[in-house]
Amino acid sequence: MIHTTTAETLSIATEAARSCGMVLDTSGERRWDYSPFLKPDEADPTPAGPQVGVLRLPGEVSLGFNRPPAVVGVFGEGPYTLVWDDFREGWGLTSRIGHEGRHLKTAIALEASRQFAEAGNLERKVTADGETTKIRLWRKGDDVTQNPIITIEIDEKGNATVEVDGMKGSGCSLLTKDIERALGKTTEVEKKPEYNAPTQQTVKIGQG
Amino acid sequence: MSHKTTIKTEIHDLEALKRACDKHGEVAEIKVAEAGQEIEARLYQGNTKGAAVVKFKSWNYPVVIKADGTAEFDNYNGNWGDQKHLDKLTQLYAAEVVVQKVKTSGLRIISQETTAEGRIRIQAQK
Repeated sequence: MIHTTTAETLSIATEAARSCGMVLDTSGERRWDYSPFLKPDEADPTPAGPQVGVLRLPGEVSLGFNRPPAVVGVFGEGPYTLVWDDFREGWGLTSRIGHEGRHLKTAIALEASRQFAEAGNLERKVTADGETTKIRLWRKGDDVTQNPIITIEIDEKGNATVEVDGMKGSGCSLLTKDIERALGKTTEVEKKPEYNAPTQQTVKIGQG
Repeated sequence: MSHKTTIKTEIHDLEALKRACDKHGEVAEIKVAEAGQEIEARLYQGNTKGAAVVKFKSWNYPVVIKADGTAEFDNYNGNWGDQKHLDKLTQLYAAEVVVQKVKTSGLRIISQETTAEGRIRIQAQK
């Protein structure tokens, strides 16, 4: 269980801001106004609840800090969204941050995640594939493979891709088959090396 | 990641279609047939039947959702109706189906967002 007070959350946010040469605006509780970035028929994706701080960045970008322990979002123009979910509910989070000249935002997200990991005594892993950066935090001692994340992405024409992250073995197919069947006809299946990995390892003793 | 599946969306869940229509700003009307029945609708080339009929405000003819989950329509390459309206409806429908299925599969949604490119991304976890 990880608990941080509002004051502690703000302290982390302030340090993250300072390390990036920014100033944290804590002039009052508010909800982040996401409306400038919404399409006419798009719902506001920000979580409900009071927002305790907004880190103002250049170029219509803000880093919002919500209720403790932390719900954080990087909002603004570009193919990136960073959302921390409530640590108390799961083992951690997965975040995707686009690059393409947006290194400042990536750096801020990396710094903020470092601060949160340190303050919350969390494990942290950062991976980048050239297009997106993933930051994963989880409680020390947790086995992240026990709680895979399913990502469903629906393109502008309504067609979908379903991915499973953090699970070894063919059991991941069972996890997603109901969703895939409900959506329609499967046109392509790409199996990763982990798909064929055994879910349990056998160790032989007394050989060699 | 151990696997990635690509799916061509088919419209079979008519309740999810109704909810998608409610969220779509361009839908003027939706009619859904009783179970085992079909609704007739007039397209340019004649009458056709389907499980549901969706009328967009700015389209000349309705979109007929067939029993096999496909859509039949006459929009004359966009001159009689903007294809983006139907694409958006399919996208909203798929999101409705995913959210519903996640809930009934013992999973929980940990994030839902619309990307800058217009994709809907939903993440779920046990």
